[in-house]
Amino acid sequence: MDIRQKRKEHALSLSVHGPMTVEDATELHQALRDAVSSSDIVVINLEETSDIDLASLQLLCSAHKTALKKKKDLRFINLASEVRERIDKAGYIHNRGCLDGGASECLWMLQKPSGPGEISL
Amino acid sequence: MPVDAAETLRPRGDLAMNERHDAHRETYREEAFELLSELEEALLNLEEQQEDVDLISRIFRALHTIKGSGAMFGFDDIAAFTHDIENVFDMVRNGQLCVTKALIDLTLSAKDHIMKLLAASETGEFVDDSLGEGILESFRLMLPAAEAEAAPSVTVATPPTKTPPAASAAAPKGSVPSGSDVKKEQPASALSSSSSSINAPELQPQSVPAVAEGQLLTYRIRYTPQEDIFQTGTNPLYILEDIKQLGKCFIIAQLSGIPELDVIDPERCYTYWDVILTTSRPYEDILDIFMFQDEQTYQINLIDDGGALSEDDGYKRLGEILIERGTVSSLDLDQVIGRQKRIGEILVDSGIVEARQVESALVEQQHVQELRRDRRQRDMAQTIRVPSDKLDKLVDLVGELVTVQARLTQISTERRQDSVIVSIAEEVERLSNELHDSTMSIRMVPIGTTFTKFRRLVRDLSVELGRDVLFETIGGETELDKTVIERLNDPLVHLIRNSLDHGIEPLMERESVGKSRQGVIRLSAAHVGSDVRITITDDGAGMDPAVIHAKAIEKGLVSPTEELSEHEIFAQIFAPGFTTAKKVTDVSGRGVGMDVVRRSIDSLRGSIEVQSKRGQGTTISLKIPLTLAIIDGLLVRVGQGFYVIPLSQVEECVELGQRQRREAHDRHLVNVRGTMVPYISLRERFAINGKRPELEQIVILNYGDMTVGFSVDAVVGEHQTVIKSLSRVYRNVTGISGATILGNGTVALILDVANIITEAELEESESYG
Repeated sequence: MDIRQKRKEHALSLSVHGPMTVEDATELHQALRDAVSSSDIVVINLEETSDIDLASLQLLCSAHKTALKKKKDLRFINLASEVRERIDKAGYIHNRGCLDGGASECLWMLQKPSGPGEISL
Repeated sequence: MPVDAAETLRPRGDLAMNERHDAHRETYREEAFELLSELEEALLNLEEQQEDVDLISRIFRALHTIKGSGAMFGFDDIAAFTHDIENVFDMVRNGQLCVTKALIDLTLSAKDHIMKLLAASETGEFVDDSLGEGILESFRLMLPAAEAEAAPSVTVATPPTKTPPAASAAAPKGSVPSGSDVKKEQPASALSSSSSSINAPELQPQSVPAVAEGQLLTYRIRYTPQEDIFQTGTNPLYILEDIKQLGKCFIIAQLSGIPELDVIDPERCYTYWDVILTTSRPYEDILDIFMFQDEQTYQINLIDDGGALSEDDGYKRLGEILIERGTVSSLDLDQVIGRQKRIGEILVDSGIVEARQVESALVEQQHVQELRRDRRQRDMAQTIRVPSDKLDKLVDLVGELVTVQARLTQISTERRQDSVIVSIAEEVERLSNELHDSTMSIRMVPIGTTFTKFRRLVRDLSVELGRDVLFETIGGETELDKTVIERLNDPLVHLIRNSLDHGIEPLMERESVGKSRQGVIRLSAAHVGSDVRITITDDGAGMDPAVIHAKAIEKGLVSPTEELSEHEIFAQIFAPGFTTAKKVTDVSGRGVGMDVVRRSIDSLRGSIEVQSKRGQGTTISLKIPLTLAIIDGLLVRVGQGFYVIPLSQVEECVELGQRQRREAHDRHLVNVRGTMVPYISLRERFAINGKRPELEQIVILNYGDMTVGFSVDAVVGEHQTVIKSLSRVYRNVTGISGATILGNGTVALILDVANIITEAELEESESYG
């Protein structure tokens, strides 16, 4: 896995290349922590991601919860269909979110609310 | 106030409602009778296959429906009576109670009592409650005894909560935290940002009942992997994929345990899942998926048993599901339930429950409701109840249509140059034949429904008479007209009782003659042409022709000097009052049975034969036409009158000229390929005026194993005969079983072959003194 960053003022784009697996979980964790702590807007581009496992899904979820708590904006873009399918099979995508941050702000919701937390399909 | 006036004073709505209520009660009665029949069959089968879970389920279902529907339609006595019996069978299907002969006996008695209550609900007859109380008392005795010796029921483990180290150290090793502990911690962790634990609410443990293979069941699976699962190399998502392979499934990940970035350990698992799975695979297949998982990481609950229980429209309410899952307490639910918002929203707003947890419960609710709706629609589409009288009316109308169609065919034959009429007549003939076949097939019912009743009879009688009997049935799927089956019931009961009482020997006697202790009675049915052949065979003592002959002479049925074939000797058993039984038992021996049997079979236009070998056994064969309403007949003419002979009894037709009559010296005999066959002159029998034609036709018939002819003026041809009964005015007329209307509107009489032959034999034997 290879994470490339691109900064523009208060916004940070993280582009993840390659599969996101538990072997790289520590690296992903660090990158997300740094991104959320240093930027008001974090955009995670998954165009080049071929696969994603449970450890990485948890980290993305954790990052979103952290961002919400800090009143920051974190979102995905360019989700490949294979990756979306993997997220769906893991039971992550649904109509409602969890309690943290309010249900309408969940990262994994099917509907697209106008606010943060969109998944781009 | 007179009753009538009272009725007219009541609001019309009341009357309509009462009519509807009565209709419902009648429907319940019909269904309950069917269920009781199924119940009996299942019990008898269970006696032989005591481990069969499918049978146990069927029995439980039948009892449950009888109880539930009974309560709904005001049959409170039946509902109350069935309640305890249902409880006992619930324990049986949960493996807490074994099937024993005593249980089967008791349940059969209970079934009989319910039948009585059901019949009494219609007739108003008094039913003695003490018998029912006695039965219930015996069932109740089974309940506490079963609880005392109960094998542990199948429960699956509940996942422990993943508590912070301090709490888990306090708990004894291997113990499952109590529900209250879980509830206290769970909301805290949902809101807290620092906790690293997943607190999956503890699901209430549930027994998974024994269910039949292949049945579609729905499970709720809670899977909470251990936190360090990534280190073991196991991917929980593969477990989910394996579950998906088993059937239709909804997977909802619960993410509330995922902490924020500052706290999360990227190599630990914080997710748990709720899965709703509908599958026909056995429960063990689900367990296999978790083979390498710690038992405490998964819990499997059966939430829909594929229609095993009669269900009303809905599945559990959302609140019930959440309580069952341990997600919310009933106290919290009650507090919230007073408000107007939907339960799910309220619970989420109150912070008691996560939105995802509500969603997961809603998914379960919706899925199971859909399953049940589909199941109901499927069941409804398969059969429809029709009152018998409507069906009879339809048969009548079809019969009349066939008559009119025959007239149309006749006219089209006369006007065969008119191609339009010919074509229409052909089309009408085709359609009416199809309609006829269809209508007849609606009335056709498998005889197996009657066979099942006899199993109980054989079982009870065997016990009463001290015999060991294996009762086999073959060809239960053979279909006959409903009315024919109903009318066959009594004769068959009598024949089976005879087999048991006179045929099958007592155990010691069988052993002494080198037979197995267990006797066999075999009842079989099969279609043969347009008839059904039913045979009752036993491997008992058989009949001794000498004894029968002696008895027949004693009763004056035959003369001492008369020589009889073995068949003719056996035919004597059908004479009224004939019995060789040395004593009259409750079961048989009064000599009023076989002649009634013979007459019943005759009235069905059937025949009965006996074959027997002393020491080896007896076979009674019945030949019955498939249907009573329409028969294929041979139309004949004598003088100006037309008659129909049932085609099934006709073998052939031969000519009889004056020369042959002279050769036979005017005796009623005709040479058929070297065999002299006696014939009956219908002209003489019916005293028809007019000259006998020079060339007559002899219709050769088979009657039992006899061959007899009927002489007629002419054979017209085959004719599909819609049978009309003769009115009461003609009820004493012998030799005629009915009438039919020919295509040209003439009435033809249908001959009662058996009756004509029997009368002729009687006259002949009287004339010879």
